[in-house]
Amino acid sequence: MDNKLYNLVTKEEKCYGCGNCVVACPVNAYNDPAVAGGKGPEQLDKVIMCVENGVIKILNMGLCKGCGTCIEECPDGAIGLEVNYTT
Amino acid sequence: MIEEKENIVCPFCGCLCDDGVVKVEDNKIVGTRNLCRIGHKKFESAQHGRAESPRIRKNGELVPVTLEEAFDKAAEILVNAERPLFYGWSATCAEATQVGCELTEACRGIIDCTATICHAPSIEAIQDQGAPLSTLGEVMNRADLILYWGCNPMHAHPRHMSRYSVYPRGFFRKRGRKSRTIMVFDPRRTDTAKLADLHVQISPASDHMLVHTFREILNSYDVTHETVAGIPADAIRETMEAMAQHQWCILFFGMGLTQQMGKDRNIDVAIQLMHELNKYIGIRTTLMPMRGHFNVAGANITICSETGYPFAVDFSRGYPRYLPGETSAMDVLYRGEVDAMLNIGANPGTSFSNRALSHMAKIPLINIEPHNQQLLQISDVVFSPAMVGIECEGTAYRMDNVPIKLRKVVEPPENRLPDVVILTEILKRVKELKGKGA
Repeated sequence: MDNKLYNLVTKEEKCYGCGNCVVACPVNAYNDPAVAGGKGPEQLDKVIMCVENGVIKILNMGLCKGCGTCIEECPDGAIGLEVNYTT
Repeated sequence: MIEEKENIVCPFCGCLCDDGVVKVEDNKIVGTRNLCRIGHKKFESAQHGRAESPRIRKNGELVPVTLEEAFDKAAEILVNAERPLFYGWSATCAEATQVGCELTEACRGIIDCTATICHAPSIEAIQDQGAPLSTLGEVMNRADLILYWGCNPMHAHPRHMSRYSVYPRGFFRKRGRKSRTIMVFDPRRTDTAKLADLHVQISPASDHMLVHTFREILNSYDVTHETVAGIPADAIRETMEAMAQHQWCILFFGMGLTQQMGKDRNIDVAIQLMHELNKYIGIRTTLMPMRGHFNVAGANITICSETGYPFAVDFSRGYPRYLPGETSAMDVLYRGEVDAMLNIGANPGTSFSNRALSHMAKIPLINIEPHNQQLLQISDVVFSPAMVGIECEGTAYRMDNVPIKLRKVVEPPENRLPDVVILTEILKRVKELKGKGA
């Protein structure tokens, strides 16, 4: 997925594992009804990220459209968007 | 082979998130999913650093003994005490608290839970004013105005906002975060405040004045001061007007309100404000304390259902008496009345004052705690039980007073009995000794 225009980058050392990004993400909520209702993902192949071992983990970068909702909802900058200008 | 156990309830904070996945390999917890950093750490570290069990202090040293010997010693301490204190109950199950109430009555002691140093003022205010409460499910489906006052859920209850209050799409709040307004009242720029639509940065210890000013505006009185609690009067009026634009409001409050100057009076006026918002503007309003330990709400509920009072219950006259400030754990320890203590599901070593701890060091102390903690240094009998919600089942109450069944994830180590069994064995021996007229 490196040739995508946008890449999500995570900083695990800053993450609280609150899951704000997981639930706020519109792609996750659309693909997995459990996430839309605030729960952790039940269909791991259909969501972009989940909280694993207490910190955020990107699962399917290919689903991300680069809307940046997850970044707005992280108070500590544990998730960010990297623009790949070479694409 | 790694087995994934689903829908595990996290026994850490009052959120009791029930969608956790715990990965187990050969009875070892090797990972989690969907749990926050604190919840993950609770499961990850559950099987490490466990206290040896059981032990009794002999010649100044804690030495391993058999379970029978430890039960006998604990019962002997409690029977010989005139005013034993039974403290904790917040990190154990409701069933254990039930047995604890019976044990307290049999010993004519005092039972108190950790609420005595956190949300006891909330309970007193609820007794004064009534409790406009709701469940977290209602908040998820209905709330469009969420107030966090004197609490920082991003640090203390990390999944509170994503699991229950702010981000989930509810029945009437289909756009999740975008359907809701978040206001944070806190003197500090906390991580929760960073996510809020409005952060009211009030002066420390002036919460009572600010709530009263909101009530003044609601009741059509003039605000005579230019600034209240460090906030200009016009800004307070605008905040009130903004609050009035909503339909369903919830106030989550924490230690910043309950342990500030004013204590239960702060919650008194907060409940009155909620009542007046409902009465004059028609916003449906409720409030909810942000309970810390996973079963501190359950400790209050269970003690209340067993004795009639929620905490600080004294059985010294043979019947329950409730006098906060007189029979609460801190006060009886300060006055040096307690001559034996049983601690379960709490760590007074980090939360009690030096004055209380210095008295605890002088008296026989029975400690029921899975891990090595500071209090072991002054304990005389130590039991290391199976951990509720990880190594044995039990019932806990979420912060909105909803009972949730905790599940067993792994087998406990050898000689680790559930809290209920330990307390029942001690109770059995206490009754036997009392029957003999000891």
